[in-house]
Amino acid sequence: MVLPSHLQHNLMPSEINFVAENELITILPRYSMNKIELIGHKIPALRAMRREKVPIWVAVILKSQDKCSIVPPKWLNLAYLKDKYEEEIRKPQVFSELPWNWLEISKVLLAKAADDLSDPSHQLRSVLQDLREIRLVKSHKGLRELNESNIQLNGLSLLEINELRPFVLTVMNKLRQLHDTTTTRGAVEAGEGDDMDDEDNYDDEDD
Amino acid sequence: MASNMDIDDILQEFDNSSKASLKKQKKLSSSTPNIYDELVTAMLNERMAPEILPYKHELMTQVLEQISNQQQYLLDSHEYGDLNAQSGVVSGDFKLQLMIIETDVERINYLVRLYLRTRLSKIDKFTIHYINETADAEESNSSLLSREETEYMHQHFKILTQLYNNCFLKKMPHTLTLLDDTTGGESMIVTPDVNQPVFIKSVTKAGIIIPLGEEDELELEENGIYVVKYSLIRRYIEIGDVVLI
Amino acid sequence: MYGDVANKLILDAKRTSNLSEIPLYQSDLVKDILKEISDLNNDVEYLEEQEQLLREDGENTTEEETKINQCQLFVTHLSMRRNKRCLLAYEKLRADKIDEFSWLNLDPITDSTKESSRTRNNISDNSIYTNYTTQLALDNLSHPEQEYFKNYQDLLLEYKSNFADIDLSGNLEPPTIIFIDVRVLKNGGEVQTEYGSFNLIKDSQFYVRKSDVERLIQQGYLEEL
Repeated sequence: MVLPSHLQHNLMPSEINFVAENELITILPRYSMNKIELIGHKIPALRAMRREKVPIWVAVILKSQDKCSIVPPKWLNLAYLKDKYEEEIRKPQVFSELPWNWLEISKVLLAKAADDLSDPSHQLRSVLQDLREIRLVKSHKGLRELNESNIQLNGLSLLEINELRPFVLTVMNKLRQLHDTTTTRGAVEAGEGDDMDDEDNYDDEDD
Repeated sequence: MASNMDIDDILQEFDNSSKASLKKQKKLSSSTPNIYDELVTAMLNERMAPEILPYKHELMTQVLEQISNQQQYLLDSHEYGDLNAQSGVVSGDFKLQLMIIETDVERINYLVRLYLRTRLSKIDKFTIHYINETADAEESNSSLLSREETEYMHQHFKILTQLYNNCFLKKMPHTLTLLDDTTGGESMIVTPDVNQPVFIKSVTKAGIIIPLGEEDELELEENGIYVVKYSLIRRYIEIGDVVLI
Repeated sequence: MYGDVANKLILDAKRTSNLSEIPLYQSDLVKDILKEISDLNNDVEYLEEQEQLLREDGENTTEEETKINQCQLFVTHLSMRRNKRCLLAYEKLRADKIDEFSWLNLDPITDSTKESSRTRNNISDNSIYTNYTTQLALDNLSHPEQEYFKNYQDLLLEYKSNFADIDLSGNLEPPTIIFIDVRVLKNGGEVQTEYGSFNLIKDSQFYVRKSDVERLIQQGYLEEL
């Protein structure tokens, strides 16, 4: 096969990391540097202490060479994350709003720019871990609601979604098969006043 | 006479250089609707869609051209670096810039590689289906595959058929030698399952309403994440209102 | 029973699908299945003749006799098709694995390279290539398969030639770290790279392309920071 099989229906964690590193982040350059034209992005001429937005992967390279410090996103600090954690507890039915790649971005920044973060790394790591776990429990509970046609997963990040994917798809596909067989049988037996389609009956009662 | 020539030369040079800078400006503006992000989306959509999506002709032409430009630039710069290494003209910053450009090229290269190989793997999986599909509607469907992909598909099918024939088909009774047999209650043509559930994100401000069954419908709100049957949202992928994730 | 041999072939295919190499072509099984198909086909011809006779002799034929004959004919047809599907499934799997290997751009194992290639080939260490065909011994392929391997390589070459700047056989793991910081662990000579040259002087540090220094790291001259 042209593509290894495990690449065919799911993303690898390393790919999600790659995608997350394309996001823009603010840096505070230490020195001046000429502008760079990349494919797609343009890195403007950098001047010391003038904030610019660049892709995370560029920021990480510049940071590694001591050319800049990274301005952490507004959500990556203890106060904000603890707030979110409280919110997760307060609202058991919904996921608190976190950035699309919060896990990946915090991982990169903790690894490559810990000294630029406003709080100690170990404390950040621990609250991030708490958040991750409480959301994992929630999403697993939510899986009980799976049906054959659709579900909504607002608030989950790409990495969290990717972890659910294999299970959700397998179950939904099975339910779909079951549903398809019952509906075709239901159609045949409909004339005989069967009690196959509960939902329809409830609808009738409502009317 | 001699002085005239000089002026012509100067004018010529001026002309050339302004053309060059004009060209450069044009290149800049053409890349503003960020082709990098477009490529990421195209790759993810292709990865997650159960069927092959229309080939991104324009995007790919642009991307390939830019990769080639950047690679040439890197080559030239390295040559320049070699020539001036002794004199110390090449600054550390310049080197760092080249490294960032090289990383960018590598990243794009990877995206293109994955995009193209994902497509080929679907072509391989549903070969007969796509051969029929592209033959039925030569005109309207000509953009589904690139020219290179069409060629690959036909050639691969040809050598596979050859393999099957030489291994066993030619030693079988004539009635059994077809590869696209649909008789006997079992079709031998594998087709994509477009009712497969997919993970999507709606990226348009205007809500999208998709029908579910007879009366139900589902409204997709901006940035909402859903799992729905692929067939219900496939047309929104093409216009970019929905992305597969 | 009809289909038993084909089942053996499928079991072999199932085992093959998890291997990183392509095992020996099961020419005996394939031959047996083809023989069975040909026998079945003779049966079909015989049964069709019978059916014809029964029909011509309409008056003396019971409905039961016709049904029995039809049923036999049906099952015989099914068995033949089943065998054909198994052969196709087997061969398709092997072709897929040949394709897989071709994408890696590696040399196949021939008699002369048998020993060295086993040790040289460390691509399978990469997590992404688990269950991927990373080895191919030409001797294990049938003649048509060897020909197919050659044809597919040509086909790939042709397809790839359309994308001169893209390394289509390159790593499918995303490129995360292309340049790294290294520290020199022991003194050595001058190292030439596209980004200029540097001297291996103990404790000095450089920012270099990872692929340029991988050997030096292995040899203990450099360490990644």
